[in-house]
Amino acid sequence: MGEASESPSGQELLRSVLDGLPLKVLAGGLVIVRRKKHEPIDLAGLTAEKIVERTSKRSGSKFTARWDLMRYANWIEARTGELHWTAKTGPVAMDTPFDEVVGISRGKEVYTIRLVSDGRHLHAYPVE
Amino acid sequence: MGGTCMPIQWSSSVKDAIEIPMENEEFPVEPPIVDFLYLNAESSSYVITFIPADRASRQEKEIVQIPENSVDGRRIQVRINEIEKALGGHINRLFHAGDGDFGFVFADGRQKQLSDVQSTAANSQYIYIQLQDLGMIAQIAFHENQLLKNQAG
Repeated sequence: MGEASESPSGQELLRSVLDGLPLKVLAGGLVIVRRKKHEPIDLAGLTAEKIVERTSKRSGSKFTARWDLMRYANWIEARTGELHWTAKTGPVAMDTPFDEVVGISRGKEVYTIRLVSDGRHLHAYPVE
Repeated sequence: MGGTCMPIQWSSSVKDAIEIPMENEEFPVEPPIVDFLYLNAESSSYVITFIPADRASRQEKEIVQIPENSVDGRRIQVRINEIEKALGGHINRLFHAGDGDFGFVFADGRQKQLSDVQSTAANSQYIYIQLQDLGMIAQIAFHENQLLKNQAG
């Protein structure tokens, strides 16, 4: 399982991918897609009420800044491999707990990432 | 899978923070919202990840599969056809881009977002109505599946 390059150009390459398009195609036929609505945002200066709103179901929970696209794609690839998910697996989801805050959902700091495959596309987001 | 404890970066030092479009006041969106939709050719079914209303599920997202040749499948196809006519291209998949915005990936690889669509407000509103209906179709199918599971259990 090849670790994506940590070079700035690798990160820049991922950041140039448009929302909803593939970040990486995995060996088992699954495709990691970019979902901007779950990416880190600048919460500085926002009221608690606004943070709840910006991380709600309709806006999407958000990853912390430590989860840049490189880490996001590499983690999904590694976890998908551990779970032995492929394009033949069908729709499936799995929660992974962390001992650090991974994101914010409905205004709360959360420690769990949900990885979802719809049978073809993979994405992940923080959940309570 | 957990890592070591590190300071959380939420502040303006967020280097890679993305710009989230301002809320689309013209089209205030509420769940159920289609999060991601595509047609799985192998199973001949639409796979819809959707954001359910809280009364249907507290989860952020749920997934349903709807056979292409079912009544709901045909309703989905009609809605997609209407969106395709409005946007001018064959849609490969569509997704929620947050708040009142949606993205569309065309068969030729082009990507377009509702907020970028150069069209009349009436045309955008028409697309939005189709998207709302897709979300509702998904949620009703999910609810029916839950009822069937409960009856079987």
